[in-house]
Amino acid sequence: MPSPTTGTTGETSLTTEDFTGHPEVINCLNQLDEAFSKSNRPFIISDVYDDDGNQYVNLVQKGGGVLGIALVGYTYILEKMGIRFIRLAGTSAGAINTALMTVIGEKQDSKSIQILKAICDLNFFNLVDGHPAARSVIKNFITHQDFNAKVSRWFKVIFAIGLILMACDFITLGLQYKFQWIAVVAKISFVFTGLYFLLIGFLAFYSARLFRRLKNAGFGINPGNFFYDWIKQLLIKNGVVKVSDLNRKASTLPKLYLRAENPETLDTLKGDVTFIASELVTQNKIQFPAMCNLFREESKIDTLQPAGFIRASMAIPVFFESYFINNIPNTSAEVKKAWMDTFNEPNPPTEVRFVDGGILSNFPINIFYNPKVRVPRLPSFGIDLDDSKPENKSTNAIHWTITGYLGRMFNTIRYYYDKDFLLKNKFFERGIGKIPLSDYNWLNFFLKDEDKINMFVLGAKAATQFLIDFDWEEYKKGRSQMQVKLAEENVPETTTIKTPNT
Amino acid sequence: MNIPFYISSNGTLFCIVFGVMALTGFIMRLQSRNFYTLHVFVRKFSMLDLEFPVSALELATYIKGIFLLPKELSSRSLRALKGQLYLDFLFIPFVYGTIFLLCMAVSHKMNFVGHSIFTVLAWAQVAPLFCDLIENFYLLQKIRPDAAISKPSVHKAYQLLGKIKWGIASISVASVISTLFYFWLTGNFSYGAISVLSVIIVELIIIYILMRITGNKPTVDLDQYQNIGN
Repeated sequence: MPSPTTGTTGETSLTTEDFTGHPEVINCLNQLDEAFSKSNRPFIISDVYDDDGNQYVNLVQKGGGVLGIALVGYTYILEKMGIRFIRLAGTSAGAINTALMTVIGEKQDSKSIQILKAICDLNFFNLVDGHPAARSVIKNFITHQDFNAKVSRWFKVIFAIGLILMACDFITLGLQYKFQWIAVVAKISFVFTGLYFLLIGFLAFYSARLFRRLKNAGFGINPGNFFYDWIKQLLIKNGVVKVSDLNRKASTLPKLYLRAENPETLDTLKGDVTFIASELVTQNKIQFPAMCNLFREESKIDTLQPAGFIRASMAIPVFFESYFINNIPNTSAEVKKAWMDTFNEPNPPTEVRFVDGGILSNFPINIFYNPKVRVPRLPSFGIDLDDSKPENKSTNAIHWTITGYLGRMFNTIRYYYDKDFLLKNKFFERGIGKIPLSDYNWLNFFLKDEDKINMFVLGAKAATQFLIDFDWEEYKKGRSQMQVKLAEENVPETTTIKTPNT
Repeated sequence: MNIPFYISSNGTLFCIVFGVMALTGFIMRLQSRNFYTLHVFVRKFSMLDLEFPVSALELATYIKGIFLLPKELSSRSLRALKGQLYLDFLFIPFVYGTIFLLCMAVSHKMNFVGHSIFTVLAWAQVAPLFCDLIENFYLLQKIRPDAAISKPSVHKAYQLLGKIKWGIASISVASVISTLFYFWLTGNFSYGAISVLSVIIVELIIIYILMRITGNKPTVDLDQYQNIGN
């Protein structure tokens, strides 16, 4: 496995200026300048601000594999407009961006350029660190749209060769008794048939071996070690070695002010960070680092590795190996209580296994919802990555293929948790910006530089449009009205493990 | 006319060589059931994983992982792995000897070019034999708690040894068996060949019975080791 530093540098010619200096990105900033500075429309998106005039919001970033580059384009524009983030949350690719936005510099600093730098230095294909054969299949499968047809053609050719060889054996075997010279052809034909079956046997054996490897690796094609080392080094470089370092970074706020009077005041405003992961042993959604107490006693929290939380959040099932946390002191009263309080689980496991948080909650905006808050001090923004193809939106169910049908079923299950929250709290849609990315495959780790820049631009454009359309006063009013309406309907509070603040 | 280096194959010798190969192969199979390593979690591995690692790092990881296992499991795995490698020194001459004798037997029945090709294939077994021996020595010196990651050139050479070994041996076996199949279908064989075939079938049945008796279940309950690793 190449090291994250040596294996990535020099393999891409991209610089941060290629992204930020793109004419369309500059045009986005000009549009915002026109919409606010030049038109005298005040740019107010929150009541919370600091000494430098930065305005603060909460931010949720959706998961979506390599589409995460678009998230950086979006946050770049937000930061350029003086927006900073108090609470951050994300899943999978969203968790990666969230982590970097948390650890780089201080809350009041702009971070997108440094994140871009990390992306420029990263060869995405190194993240696919599995067996070369698996890498090759993934590469071909994702980058060649006609890969299925190609494989099908190959199978047909191999089958046809087998048929021809066996027919040749059959014919020459009989004819050699009439024409002696055909015996030579028959022998050659038999040898080739033997070699043909050797090849078939080899392919079958090799496939079985790859599958056994997959099984032994916990059904993950790629170990994910490269990613783990990459993110760990970035965390360490930014002073986050332990869980307590991460919590400190996430919670440290500059001196803040409230623009308008609010009964909540600033006292209850706390910064934090959340990465979502799906835990398979106890079948729960885990919010890192807040739920670390499920896996270690408070005094030993730092024996967990913060890079592991992000690795757990992005462990796309089958594509990456699962992430494990072992040696859970499941007999400790403190740990038992944590499990009981959080999941009503009297028998904590000794080992847990995580896969991508996206299978449960790919867009965890619900964790920022605090039903106790009547008038918000700051908005909760969300960045949605919309990669659904127009044909996927087809309601003509009879024409779906088997993969389309299975995909629909899986997506219905995995999206409904977040969708249900947004259906019941439609108001939150006002804080969500959607980046259209239907031209890109979320698992395409073989992106061209041009694609990376285009995704960044799409993120920047979506953020620009969102900021132009966003009205903080309307948002505040809508949020308050929603609260009143919910109180009247007596809707139960959403389950969260802490008291969020908006 | 026989070409130089042609050796007439002997049925009795072939039965003995094949029998010893089958028996040592069976014992090695038993040993391989104890191959465990620790990488993230306790997992099984096979000799093929060591012969064809994805990278030099993977080979070192497999070996180091054995020493990271709990003491009892680590000793068991090491004993089995080293035992298999030592036994392999006995297995190697018999396995390639079997292929050598088969190639010579087929060569005897062929005319012209076929005779030469199979004689060459028979003597070509010397190459995989030496590759296998070198591979074994390399692995034996590599099995240590601080197994180093080999240099790219060394790892490439190691991979080449495996490819030569398996390539020559499997092409020879496939060619020989398909040609024998041809002779069988055309009825071009002696009564002595039927006796040899009968002995081989009996030997295979004995090995099969032994395999059934010893079972194929893992010798270790991995659940008891679920709480280690990472």
